[in-house]
Amino acid sequence: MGPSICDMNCIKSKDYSAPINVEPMAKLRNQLSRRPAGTLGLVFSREGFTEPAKILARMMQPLNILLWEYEELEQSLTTGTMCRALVTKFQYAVESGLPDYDIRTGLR
Amino acid sequence: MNRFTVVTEGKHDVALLKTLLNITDDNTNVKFVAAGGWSSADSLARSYLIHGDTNVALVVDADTTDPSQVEDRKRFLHMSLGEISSSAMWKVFVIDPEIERLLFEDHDVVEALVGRPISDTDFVSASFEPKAVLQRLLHGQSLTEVYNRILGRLDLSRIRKATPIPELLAFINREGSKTASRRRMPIGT
Repeated sequence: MGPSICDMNCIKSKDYSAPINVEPMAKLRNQLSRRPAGTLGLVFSREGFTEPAKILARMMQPLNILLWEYEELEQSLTTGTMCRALVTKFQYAVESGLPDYDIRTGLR
Repeated sequence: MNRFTVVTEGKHDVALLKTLLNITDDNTNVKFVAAGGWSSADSLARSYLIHGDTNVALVVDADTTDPSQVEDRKRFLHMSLGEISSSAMWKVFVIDPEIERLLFEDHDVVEALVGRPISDTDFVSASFEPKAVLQRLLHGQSLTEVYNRILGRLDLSRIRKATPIPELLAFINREGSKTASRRRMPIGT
């Protein structure tokens, strides 16, 4: 069995006391541009994201960065559903162009 | 299925809104959700809308008293939810500067919550940072616990007339609201 989507990600996790702005996202985007197509970037934030950061994630072409809020990470870790949550987020990104689907509204 | 979901930031916001809107836990028509912060409230509201089976009221803090920044946040959230579904399905309420400002609309209510008279200085400070002032006056007690214990016993008629409570109430009480008019964002946009 080959690698799943859970094995092919670049992860950026920020434990800042303020919402994440565009800079870490832009850096991750540059790193992704040097990776094979299909590699996903995941950004985890304790304090959420600024409006420009959200706009950047939504306008990015291709859409290859998924945003994770702290509460989603907490739920996924406590229920042991991290990989399933990632697959769900990815499916909504593919189907609806959402980089920030909140897994608390339902997992697949 | 809940016909209306009120998405807000914290558990204390849920406790406050439930009391102000006079909605009890046995009301299955309306569900309240604490997202965590304004950013996650935005994403959570979008995600409820993508499922298309509930109307969404998004209630968040402006986190500023600057009118242009308040408008920026409103504009962003309108754009954000508007990408997902028809505007008939959702409504955005940005409270300037924070939801706790509503409590300071009535001095008697705030004084009853903290259990003593409050200085004019504190009332003025509360215009800019009502949550911090309230937390200081409550000496670190949990806002959720205080709201649940005291707020329901107070006369909230004055606060219930303050913006945006009547508008929020009208939204969740409206008749003939549809839950099937979802408009998904086309792939590739």
